[in-house]
Amino acid sequence: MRNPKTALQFTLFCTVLLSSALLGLAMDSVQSIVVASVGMTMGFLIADRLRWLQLDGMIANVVSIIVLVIAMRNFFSLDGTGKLTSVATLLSYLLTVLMFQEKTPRVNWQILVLSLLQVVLSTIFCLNLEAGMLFLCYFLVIGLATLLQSIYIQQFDIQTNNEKSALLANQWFKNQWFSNHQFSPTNQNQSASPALTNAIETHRPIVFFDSQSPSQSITILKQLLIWFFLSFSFAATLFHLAPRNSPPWFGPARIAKTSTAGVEKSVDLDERGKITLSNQVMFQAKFQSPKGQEVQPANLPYFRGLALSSVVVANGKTDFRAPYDRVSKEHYQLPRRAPFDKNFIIQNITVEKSADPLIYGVYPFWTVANEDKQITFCHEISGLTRCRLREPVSVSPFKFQAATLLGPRSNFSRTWPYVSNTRHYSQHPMADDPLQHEWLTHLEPNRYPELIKLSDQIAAKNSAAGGDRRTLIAAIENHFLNPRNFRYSLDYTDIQRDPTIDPIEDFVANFRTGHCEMFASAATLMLRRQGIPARLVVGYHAGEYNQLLKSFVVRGQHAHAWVEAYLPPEECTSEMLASGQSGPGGAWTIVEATPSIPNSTLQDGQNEAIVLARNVWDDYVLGNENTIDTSETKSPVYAWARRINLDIDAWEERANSAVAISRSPAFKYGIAALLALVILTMLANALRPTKNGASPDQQVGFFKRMAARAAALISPQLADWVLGKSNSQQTKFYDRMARILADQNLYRRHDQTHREFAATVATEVSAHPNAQLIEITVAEITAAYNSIRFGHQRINQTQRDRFKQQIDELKLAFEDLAIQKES
Amino acid sequence: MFRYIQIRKHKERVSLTPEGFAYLTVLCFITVGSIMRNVNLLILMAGLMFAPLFINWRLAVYRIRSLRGLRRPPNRIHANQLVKFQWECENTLRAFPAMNVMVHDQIRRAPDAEQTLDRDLSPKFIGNQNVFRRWFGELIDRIWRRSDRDTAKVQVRFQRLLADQPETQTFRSYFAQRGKYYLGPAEIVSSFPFGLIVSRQRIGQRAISFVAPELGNLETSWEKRIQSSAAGADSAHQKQSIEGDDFFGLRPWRTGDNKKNIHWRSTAKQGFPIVKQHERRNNRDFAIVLDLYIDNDAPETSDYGDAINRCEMILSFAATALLNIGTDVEGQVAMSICGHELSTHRSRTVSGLIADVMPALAVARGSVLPNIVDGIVASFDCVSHGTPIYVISSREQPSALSSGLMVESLTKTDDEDRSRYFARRVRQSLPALRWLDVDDDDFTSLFSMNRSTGGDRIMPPALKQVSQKWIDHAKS
Repeated sequence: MRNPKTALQFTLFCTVLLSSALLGLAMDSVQSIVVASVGMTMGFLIADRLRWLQLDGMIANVVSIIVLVIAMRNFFSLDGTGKLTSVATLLSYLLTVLMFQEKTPRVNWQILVLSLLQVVLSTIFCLNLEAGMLFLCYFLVIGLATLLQSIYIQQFDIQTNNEKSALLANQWFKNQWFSNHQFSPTNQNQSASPALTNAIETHRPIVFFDSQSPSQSITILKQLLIWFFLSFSFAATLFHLAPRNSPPWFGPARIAKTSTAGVEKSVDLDERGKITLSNQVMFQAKFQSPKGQEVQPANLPYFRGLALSSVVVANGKTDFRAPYDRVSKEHYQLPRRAPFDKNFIIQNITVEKSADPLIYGVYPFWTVANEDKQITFCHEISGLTRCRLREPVSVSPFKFQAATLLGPRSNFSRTWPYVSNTRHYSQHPMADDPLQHEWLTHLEPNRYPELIKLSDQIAAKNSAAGGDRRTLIAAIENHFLNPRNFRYSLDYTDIQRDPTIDPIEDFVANFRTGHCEMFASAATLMLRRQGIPARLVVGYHAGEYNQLLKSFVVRGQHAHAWVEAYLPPEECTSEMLASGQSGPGGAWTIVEATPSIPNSTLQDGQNEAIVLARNVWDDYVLGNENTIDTSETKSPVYAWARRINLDIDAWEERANSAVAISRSPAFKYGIAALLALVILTMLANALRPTKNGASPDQQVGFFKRMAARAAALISPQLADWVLGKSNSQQTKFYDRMARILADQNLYRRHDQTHREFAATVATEVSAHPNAQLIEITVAEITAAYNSIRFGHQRINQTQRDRFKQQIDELKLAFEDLAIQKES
Repeated sequence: MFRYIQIRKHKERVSLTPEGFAYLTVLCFITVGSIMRNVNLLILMAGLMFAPLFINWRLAVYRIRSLRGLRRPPNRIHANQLVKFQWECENTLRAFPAMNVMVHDQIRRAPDAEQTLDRDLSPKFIGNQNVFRRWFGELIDRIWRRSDRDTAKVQVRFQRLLADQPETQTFRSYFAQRGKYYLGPAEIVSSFPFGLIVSRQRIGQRAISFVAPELGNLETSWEKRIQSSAAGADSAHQKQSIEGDDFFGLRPWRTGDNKKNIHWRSTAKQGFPIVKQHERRNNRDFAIVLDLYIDNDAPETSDYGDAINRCEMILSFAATALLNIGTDVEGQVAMSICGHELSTHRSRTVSGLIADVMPALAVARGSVLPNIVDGIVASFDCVSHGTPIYVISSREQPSALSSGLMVESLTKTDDEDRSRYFARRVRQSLPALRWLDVDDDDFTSLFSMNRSTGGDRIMPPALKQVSQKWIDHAKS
């Protein structure tokens, strides 16, 4: 880097890259990161380094307007997140346009401000810990950029002044303003530029600042860069060395999965390759007693997501799906409150940011008193979702509290009351709803001959042993858990599949190797074959236990599928009824058909430090507050409003009505028309050719000229006054002096010049005690008047003040004599 | 290391730069947004953004208090020359070096009404001292950029100022027109490190510089003419006595030495001839009278420009002649400038006269009625009898001054004794008068200006070089 300008260009490039990356990460949009990076890099290379193309200011403005229209075309029809996304896109586009411009200090500042706004947006979207590190790096880089910019501005000012001086000098000598008439204003060439005219009229010197060698700049720059890179290297090393399992950097695949954080809502039974497990943290769960003491359960919890109860055949394959087609708004109900007579514990769950409203928790799931209307339960999909009344999509981590049941041996329950989260279904057995029973036992027998045969064999064996439905469920479960029958694997590479039969049938009959979804699917179908309502459930099982946080950290690799089988109340045990795991509506029980899951054991958190840091970031930096949870009691604005007795509801109503008006088409079109008018006016003004032949007085702004034209309709003098052309305004001081002299019976004759009149005054007042003062004052004022009146010179405020002072002195000089005479 | 004389300690002024204003706007936006939306990261961001603003403010204020500056203008400035000014700055704070310090200076040509020899910077030149009005006037000037119109802004940049190590930076200025120029007030400006807040400290440094007339080319015929008139004076002196010369010392005899100069006593002591050496007294006086006559003082008339140009030619000739006369004349030197005002300057040395005369030449103005008689008499009184008095005029020699007739018409005043005295003195000086009309071919053979064939001014090489450099820079 030879000079601060080059260094600044590079730093600005880094700044915009960082801010774009931050915004992309916050939005979970790889596309925007790639597009912005490519645009910025191209701009940097083409405009700054290679200098092949540098957009002219006017062209850049036009492109910016086009970009504005493109980015904001659907702005008003979008929801909150969509609007933010539109603004983010617009900022990226505008930055790209700016990067293609020549980097003047003004453009640099525009880049810096837009980049800052990008970061503001990204903070609104929410940043995770890694992005937070990038956030801090960004501030280091923008600090460096600001510093370099301040150095560059000074350098640029001096260079610009020198260039202007050089052009001025050349113009002077080219046009020979000195020849013959020594700057006589009456002989000026009409092609004079305003700067040149000013310089000639005022004999302004031309100044050049001697440029310094860049060695000192480079020394400063080196020091700054060394300081910056040392800081950055230290931070990066610390970040890299922190104990962790997951790689510290982001990969596109991981970012892509972030948008669908959580398990898949349909099963893929036709896997061919090797399934890879993600390390992405999905949520954290911490268990406490109602008194706040830490509870470490004896077994691993099942964090249930939703039930895939709909079995359909698509493309010749069985597919389990969540029955969203059966869902309407009315199906979302508030979960039940925790019963105080049960031995429940509190689960504190923090779900990482996700566009998916689905949340996970250990069932039975009861809300606690302080969690109001945040969570709803949908009976049809049998899943918990965030309340979506205020904001359609949440873009920040979601934290909630719930209660669940802990058994007598400190074990999590594997059964819970039927549809535990709604009052109605928890009180009525499924026998009361034959349609649902039929739906949950639906099966196409022709597709699974071997599976049905096997199911029937197990059922027969159970009947022969005098078993009931509970033992039948256990028998089917054990059939899959027997390592001689089935083997767990995530690698389907070497498995021979029979494409002519259903994958589940193929699994049960032939290859007998697979992952949890295969086992759960097969078990569900076998249970249904025996008339037991069953459904496949997706969620998470197990996790890492972080000793520092005292909580489970659940990652993508802990995703799991299992089966829920329904037990009518008459088949539930008294123990289940007593502990609250079942009720009048019966109970659902977990059927774990997957053998020896590798991640099903509790793991020690090897990345405790980084998880702790992430937690600290979430809790103390981000606050980890859900945007939808900005209740009135929490908002400081509401608190202040309450203090000053401000009726904020009334104001909110007014604001809402104003917003409603602003959303009306007439308002939008009106604003658009007004904006278009302003833009067109500005464009017309900018595109207006400069008149080289214009006199200095014509070199005024557009609006002033328009106002002058309007004023000219009334009076030409008024137009002159608007344009500042009127000499009478400039020479008012002479009129004032003339009035003072007239008071002393000194009048200028019509055949007298002003100079002659001044000489006459000097002669007339020669006997006056203040003659010298009067003579000098009158001579000076007359000279100034002549230079303005005939020399077309102008006086500034300082000169005007001085003349006023002199005239005051003149008046006093005459008054002194009067006073003396009186005395 | 030098000491600075600071008349009044000004308090530093702190303000936001345009960039700082944009920064503050964004900061306010973020702060309000963070409070409204209750987003912690935005609050953190606002804090991170506030820190540079605060640091910039404190550093700029702290730094500016320890800086001192001094302007060093060149000794003599002529019009149509690129001259070098120096700014010297010092950091008195030992703790840290000061970086990116700017000195904002200004140069302004005094209006015609103020083109006098007055060197006093009284308040009337500075402007109204009413604080509010001055502040308001400055604000209006700044808004409408009125002050830019007649003032050349100078920016001098010091990249790094180590403690107690004064740094010097230069800037060059081209003055197209002679006259009186106001320098300053200057201020030291620092916005380091982030350029968001700027701290300014006025360091005054108000001064007046007189830009002398443009220099031309004196032909050798002028030198010859001076020498010939000096020879005449010398011959007159030689007739008096050689004894009148000052004794300088003794030296060995050389072939050609006058026998009368042999110092016999020393010769006897040394054993070889020793002669007395006399330093020849230089009695070559020189007097010049500038007759800045203009036949028309109405600027709007067409021949006004020609009249002004003739006066400029006379002033340029005077400045050039004075600078070139040093080797030829070492006696009494006198110069009278008869224009709008009459001023007479005399000195035993040319260098002394140059320092005295150049400011007068800078502000001299033509007149329809120059007091030529007083000028001639004053010069005549300053030099020895017989010294030629060169009158450089923009008109032909008036008959009264050539024939000696009707001289009283030129010297007529209310005081008859005074008139008679002046008439007598003028008649006495008439034989010594050498009248040079600038329109005459005689003058053209003596002096010429640096002009192209069309009479246009030629860009000085130094200015051409520096302007070409920056034009190339702008193109690149």
